[in-house]
Amino acid sequence: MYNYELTQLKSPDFPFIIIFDLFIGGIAAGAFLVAVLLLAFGGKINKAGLHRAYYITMALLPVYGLLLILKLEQKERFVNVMWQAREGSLMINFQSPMSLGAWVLNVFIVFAAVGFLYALRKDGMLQFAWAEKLYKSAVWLHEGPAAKVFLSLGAVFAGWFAMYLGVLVTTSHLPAWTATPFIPTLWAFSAVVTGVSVVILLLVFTNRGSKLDDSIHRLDNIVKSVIVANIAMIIVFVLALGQWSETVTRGMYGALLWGGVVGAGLIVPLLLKMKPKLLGQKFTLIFSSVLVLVGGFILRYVVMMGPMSYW
Amino acid sequence: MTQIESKKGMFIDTTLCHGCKACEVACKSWNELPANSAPSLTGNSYDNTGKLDGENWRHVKFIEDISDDRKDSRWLFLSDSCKHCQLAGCMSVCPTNAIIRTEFDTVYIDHDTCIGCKYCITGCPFGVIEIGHLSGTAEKCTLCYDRLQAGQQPACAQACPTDSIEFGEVEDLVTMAKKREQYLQSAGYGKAQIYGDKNILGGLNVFYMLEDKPEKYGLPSDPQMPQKTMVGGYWSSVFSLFAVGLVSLLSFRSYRERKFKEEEETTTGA
Ligand code: SF4
Ligand code: SF4
Repeated sequence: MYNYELTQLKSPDFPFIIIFDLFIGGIAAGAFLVAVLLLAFGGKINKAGLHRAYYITMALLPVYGLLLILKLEQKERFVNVMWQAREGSLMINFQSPMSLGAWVLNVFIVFAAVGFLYALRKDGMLQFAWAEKLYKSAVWLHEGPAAKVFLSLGAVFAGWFAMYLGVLVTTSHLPAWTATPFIPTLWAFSAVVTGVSVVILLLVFTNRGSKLDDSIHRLDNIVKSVIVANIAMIIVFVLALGQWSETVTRGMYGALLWGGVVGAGLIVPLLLKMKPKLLGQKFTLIFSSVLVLVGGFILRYVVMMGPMSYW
Repeated sequence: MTQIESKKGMFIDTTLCHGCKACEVACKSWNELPANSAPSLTGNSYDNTGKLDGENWRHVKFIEDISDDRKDSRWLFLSDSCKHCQLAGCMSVCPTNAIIRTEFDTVYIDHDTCIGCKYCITGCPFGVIEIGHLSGTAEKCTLCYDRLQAGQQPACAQACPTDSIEFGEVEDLVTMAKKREQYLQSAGYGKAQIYGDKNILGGLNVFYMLEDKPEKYGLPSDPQMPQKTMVGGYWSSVFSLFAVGLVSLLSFRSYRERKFKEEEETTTGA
């Protein structure tokens, strides 16, 4: 077919760094999301160690921000996303998911910081006298009468943060990205499985005696369920792509999607988790979590790079 | 916000274009755009510019239109550039407001504000924008903003030897185009049509007279704003948040209940 029979759309050719960005952002948001939900609505049972999810979020958000800046062609101007020097006003464009996303990130950082202070107080670490009021406020927000409201809001912003890059690519003209509204859903499910897997790893390595066993197993149960939902969502996504499914299922991308993400990154860890005695409980937890992380990374690679390289 | 003083645009009559590329050269020359690397043969057409990009703000498309039985053939030409859309997708997604509407109602990229995030590339339904290799910012036709400010017409319009590119007030140009459309249709060009009237993205300030359907020229017949799918994306996000929250809480609860049952059974058994 002669080239001009096709519309001359262009791929943005986002740099590879965006995959790391999505991956790290997903873990930060997923870990936070599940932690606040469980702290708010998990009932009165033992939640030992759950607050440590906040360390993960707080550690990863600066990396996320840095990668976000690194992917710009004019890195030193990143502040233009928030401040409009020409008009001397705040910059916000409600029609642009990228613009809104930048503000969502800012708000999410505030929630993450409060969570971090709460975790420090719980673990009795880095307790500075001058920050006493801050620690107390963080505890009040987590355990006081308004805790459920605060934690629910945190969950909304964590979810929004996990998904805004999905809405961003959906709001474009690249056919495979716009063919379905399900990319944000994929990111959400994947954020939870990868985020909770990192929390599990953290708890496994910081478990003194068997204090955290219960939390670890409860989190593992969540991962198992969300893995099933994630597999179902990937199938729905590919079917919904219709004529553009080729962009993620052809050649190397297909092999990575079915073999790397669904096979090695979701089904194998699920099976291992269902038969923990096979490799030993601790090793299974570690190995399956690592596999989930690798799968989550490949998923982002396929969904971002497949459509861009096709066009 | 800029006050619109006049509505300037261009009417490009592709039936008059003979593919000399004078407009391309004039654009490069006036805007001091770097030369294309030579030899830059596309290998599939006499058109060797290939596409609009950061260094080619104007591109004369050569369409070698050959019938299936290869008995008939013709060349169609279209001098392509940014259309300075009334509903500009590029502008709507830009997170820094680097893309602005000028006092001439044209769409202009403020290079001091652009951060090179590339989002506008996906926002344009015509594949116009790209990042300039030298500037590191988004680049496209400015409709010679500097020349308009000095009361001159764009370089391409001035250079065109067949008056295929007419510059002026959009309203006057539309009247001219309608007359031309009527003339062409009565002269036997039944498929002659204006592309870029109000029905396309609220009207394109740079619009065309085509000899055939838009797809022949690589133009979308019904271009949309990138936000056409945004609401769906937000809905699916809301659904996902509920779904993932519910699944997490239920699995947490079911584990707890199972554990309790196991514990109860152990206690009763003991
Ligand atoms: S043609 Fe593309 S780049 Fe030009 S104004 Fe329209 S959307 Fe923007
Ligand atoms: S590349 Fe520049 S003009 Fe394009 S969306 Fe980003 S900031 Fe705006």
